[in-house]
Amino acid sequence: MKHAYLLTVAMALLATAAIAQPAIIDYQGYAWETGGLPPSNAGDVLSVVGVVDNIDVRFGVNFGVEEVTVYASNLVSTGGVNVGGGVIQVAYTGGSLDLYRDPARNHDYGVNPANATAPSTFVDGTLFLGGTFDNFFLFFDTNSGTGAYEGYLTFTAGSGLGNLVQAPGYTFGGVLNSAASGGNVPAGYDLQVDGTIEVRFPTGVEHKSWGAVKSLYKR
Amino acid sequence: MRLKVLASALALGALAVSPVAYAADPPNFDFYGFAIVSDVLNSPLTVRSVLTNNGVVPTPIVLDFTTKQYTLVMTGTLSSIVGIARNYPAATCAIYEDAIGGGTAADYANPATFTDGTLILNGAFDGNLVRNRFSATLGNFIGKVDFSGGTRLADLVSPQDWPCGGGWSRSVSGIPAGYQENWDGKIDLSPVAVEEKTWNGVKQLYRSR
Repeated sequence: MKHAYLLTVAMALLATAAIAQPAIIDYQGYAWETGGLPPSNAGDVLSVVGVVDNIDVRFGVNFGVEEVTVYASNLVSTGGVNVGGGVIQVAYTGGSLDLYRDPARNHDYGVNPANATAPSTFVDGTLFLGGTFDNFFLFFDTNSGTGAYEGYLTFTAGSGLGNLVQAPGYTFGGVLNSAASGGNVPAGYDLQVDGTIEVRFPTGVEHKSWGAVKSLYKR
Repeated sequence: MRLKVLASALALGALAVSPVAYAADPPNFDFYGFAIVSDVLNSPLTVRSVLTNNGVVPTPIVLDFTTKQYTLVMTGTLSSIVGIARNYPAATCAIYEDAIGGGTAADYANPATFTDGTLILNGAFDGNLVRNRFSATLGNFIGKVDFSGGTRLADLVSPQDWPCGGGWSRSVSGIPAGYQENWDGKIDLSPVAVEEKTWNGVKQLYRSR
């Protein structure tokens, strides 16, 4: 009975050791919405293109020879809601988030997207992670010309998918319009974007002998 | 031919009087880190972060991410709450450079690792650093930095009014113990006004050559 109990505890310990460990993908870029933003009218489509400048080393990305680009697409606005104080909240439906590894390192925002280089230079190379949004929200403060967004998503494709212990991901970030960013938004884009994607890597299981497990409980 | 030469001269003139000639990506100091923060008036704000440009996105001054790690620290005191805005007057901003080999890697459990090395730029926010709270777990921050010190101050064309902004979240799972929020943002290159010149003024720029 005692051995069965200890065996159960040991198995539980080993199971809990294989937990997910967060990994970060840090990106920046620009966004545009059909018809401009604000306002965000129902049916407007939000797109984001960007480049990753920091990524968990476990993905094995070498920025010396490749780039990782980001493309968020087909986020459909349900219409901006005035939540008071000059703040509008926008819920989006649908949407995909794709990241690509590309040795060409040729991303080019251009102006007035969609254009000859955006999003095309952000979706070339090899699909690294591809997924769909489960939800996506944007808050925008019309007083300051700034806002923030967050979304939960499920990754289903890409060469990096096998590294992840779980498919769900989370992204958040800040946005600034051209005035708030000191003019640092290319013509035709609505917002500057700086954000993070959090995914999950598996944590390694720590091997222990039966004697070592028993010693954990000898007090 | 004369029109093409004129157009070229005008373009060169514009570049000569407007030093902000963006590359494919506008330069900025991109940072990622965590904040100690609360909504209690007079409480401190401390943001410790690491610059993450890594040679992918250009920086306003030349930095060596191959052999150096750069940390950015912001501090302030919450003076007022107005609607969604949490206001931090005269908040400070400092960027440090530390060797990767032989230096101390940034460690959120050890605050000193963010302020050791060489202080390359420091300054204060012009007016408020504003932290906006859109929900209990999501918001943003915005302000303008006036740089006034550091070993690389002289490298800046204009040290005033560098836009700083980004987002914060409490929904990220990897927030280190003792910190409340994940902050991700950047400091953009300060906008430099274009100096207007007449056509004769542009031509004179080249007559001495």
